[in-house]
Amino acid sequence: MNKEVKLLREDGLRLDGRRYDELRPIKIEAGVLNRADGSAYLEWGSNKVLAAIYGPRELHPRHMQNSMKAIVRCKYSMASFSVPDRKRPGPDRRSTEISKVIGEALESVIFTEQFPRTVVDVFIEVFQADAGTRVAGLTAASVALADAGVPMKALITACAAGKVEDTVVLDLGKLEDNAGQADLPMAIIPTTGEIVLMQMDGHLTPAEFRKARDMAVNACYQIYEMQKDALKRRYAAE
Amino acid sequence: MENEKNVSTRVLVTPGELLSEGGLKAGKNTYWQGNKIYASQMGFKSITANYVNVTPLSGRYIPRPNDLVVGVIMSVNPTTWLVDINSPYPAPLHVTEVPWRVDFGETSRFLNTGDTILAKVFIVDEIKRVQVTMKDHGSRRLTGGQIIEISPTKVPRVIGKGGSMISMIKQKTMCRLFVGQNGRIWIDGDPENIRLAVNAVRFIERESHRFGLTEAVEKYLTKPPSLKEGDNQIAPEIKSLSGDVNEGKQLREIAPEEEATTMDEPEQDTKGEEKAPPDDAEGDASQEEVPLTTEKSGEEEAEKSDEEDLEEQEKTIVEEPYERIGDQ
Amino acid sequence: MSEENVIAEIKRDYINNLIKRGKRIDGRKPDEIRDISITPNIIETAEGSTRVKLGGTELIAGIKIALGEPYPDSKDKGVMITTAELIPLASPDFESGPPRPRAIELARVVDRGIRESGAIDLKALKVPGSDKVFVVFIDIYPVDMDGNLFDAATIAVISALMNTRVPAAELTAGSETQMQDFQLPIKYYPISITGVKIGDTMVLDPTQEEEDIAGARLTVTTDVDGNIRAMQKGRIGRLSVEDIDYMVECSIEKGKEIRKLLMAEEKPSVPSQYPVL
Repeated sequence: MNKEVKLLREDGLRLDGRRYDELRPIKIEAGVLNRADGSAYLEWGSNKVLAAIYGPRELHPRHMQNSMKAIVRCKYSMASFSVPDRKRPGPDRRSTEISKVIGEALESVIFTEQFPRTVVDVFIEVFQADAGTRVAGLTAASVALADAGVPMKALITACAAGKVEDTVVLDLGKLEDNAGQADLPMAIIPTTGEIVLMQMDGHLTPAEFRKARDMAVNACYQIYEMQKDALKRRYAAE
Repeated sequence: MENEKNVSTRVLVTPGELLSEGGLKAGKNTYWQGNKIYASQMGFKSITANYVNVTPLSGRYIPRPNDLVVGVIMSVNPTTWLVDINSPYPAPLHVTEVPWRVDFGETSRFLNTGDTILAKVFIVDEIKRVQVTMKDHGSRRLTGGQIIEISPTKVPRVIGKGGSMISMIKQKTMCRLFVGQNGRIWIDGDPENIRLAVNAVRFIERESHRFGLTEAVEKYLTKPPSLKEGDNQIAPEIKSLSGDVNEGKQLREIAPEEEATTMDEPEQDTKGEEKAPPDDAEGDASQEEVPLTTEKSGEEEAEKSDEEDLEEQEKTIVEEPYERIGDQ
Repeated sequence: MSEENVIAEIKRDYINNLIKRGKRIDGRKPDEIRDISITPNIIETAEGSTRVKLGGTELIAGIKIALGEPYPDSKDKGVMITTAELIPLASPDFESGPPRPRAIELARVVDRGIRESGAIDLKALKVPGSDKVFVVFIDIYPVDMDGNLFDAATIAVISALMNTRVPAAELTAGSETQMQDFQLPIKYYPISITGVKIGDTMVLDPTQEEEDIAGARLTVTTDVDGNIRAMQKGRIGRLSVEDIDYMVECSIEKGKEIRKLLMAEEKPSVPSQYPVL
């Protein structure tokens, strides 16, 4: 923990001027790619993320097909120049894990049984990483899925909360993430309030956890409005 | 539309949005939870005969029995061809399902990889194994022209109410057109005219959710000067060709009396389209997409899960020969 | 996916017949290039970056700079390494996994154009009074594939290099030779032009549909002076000497136009600093 950096200011705001429960600026655009069946571009703070959906499409090799439902395959990856020190291209353990939990979260809302033997491919590419790329990626992927017309129960919205300098704050920025005490990325189904992704690392008391969780969930409802708006803007007249 | 039972809205909904809290039944692209109905796809909300539906704006083609599709032969086997029908499910075409007598191993003499066919989906089982048939007097191998792919959800818009849109495109571009339910469109005519027709279809695809689409397309097609000048000479020939191809297949999906209208007085039909709000696509869709159950389709489809739906449709096929589809 | 890539004969014939009349499916002439849009400085975490749209093809190039060892045979020069990832996000034809020959060919053809034209003044990338040099990592990411990645990538890379700032201050901090940040010195502006042969016609800047049915492909990279700096013949198919002469001519001529565009888009701005937060 870096004691020299003061993350919270005297005036009750954070280093970047945000309130404790304030999100970074978010911008979402749906349907940005030609080739993909559905796509979304999302900027969240300094994160820049592109998500694309291919499918449902035929799954090869055949033995991987499930005759009862579609397989949801997610691949999250980061461009080599998305981080300060060049990242070697290709998958690593971190991105493999993130792909898995994001894919599982998305699968929980997709009506996979309508498309037996197929695959729904979800590709998330982070071109510029700040903190919170997995929640940014999942939020974008969910918009892309709706854009692709994949039947689903609801959109999924993701957001993180955490703890810096013994204070629970929403949506950690890069510096806060690096020097902070805890991070709690979550994803919910906004229409039901159910939780479909949750990870946590660091140190939280049960009371802090509840506070962080509620903060993240509340923020998800704000982001949900932006997701819907992005989808509707795509088809708005003129 | 003033009738409460049939309400099309310009209300765009996203997956998970609440559509009804009671009094209505869950229709297409919706689902029940508790006693509420939610959207399962992005699209326009509509209400037809007590069913609340969502007319989707995107999505892949999922084959349904009796759909007429444009397929491309992917591979040739001794007793079958595998047909790409622009869907997650490639469809075998068995030698017994073609209008020719094909001896074992002689398949490639009739259809080869890369060939394009008009076919009909005739079996879709519970795990979406699909088979297509060419034993239907409309089916055949297509040659010449061009094929393009559009979003299958836009097919009803390209066809238009009672076939009005497609008739107008045919008339204005002097092209032959066949719109497969799978979003694949075959267009034949003079290359310049094909390009014009392709552009018109792309225009519809892009602008499908707008008001006044028919007029917009008409204007779009009237603008280019190329049509009026050099290309008029070939018009009669094309028209006579369209007599056997278009009406033979495409318009058969439409009720007989409408078919007649569409052929002879396309302009009038276009006016009909103008009166209806463009978002009435659901009405269109059920007519165009499910040729065999024009009126009932909304209801029948609506209350059933996909599987039941399929069973119902398959039964219907057995009972009703394809030729009688238009009888309602 | 392999079986799905069957091309309908109707499409093939249609494209071929149009070409015979000197026309293309999107209305272009055979030697016409699609609209190009160049957006520099789009990635703050990169030392240089550009997004290029070439018709329906969209691609991002990013530059990272690090300290490293020079090649043993050129100890006074910096190093450049070019990588392309054909990420499956960009096309149903791209698959996940290690780079396949196609990605490697793309990276190497772009690399050759930049390297052999001497676009980057590699001598300026030696850290004075040290064994170290600056390593320029060029990474190419197609995000939407509608044909002709070679030319889109070359434009994006040269543009990204033009807006690259070498973070020398940070990289040499603490060493004997503390340097200041500087703009990556670019000497030449190579531009590649790619054509494919359809029937008897060379067709420039092919779309995906055209590439699907094309025979041989030829890429010619030229410099400001109209000299040839790199070439690559690809795909199964044959070219005549005339085809090649024609492509060289086209490359010189079209290269000029694109270079003009490049200069106009590329304001000599310095990319924003790392986000300080």
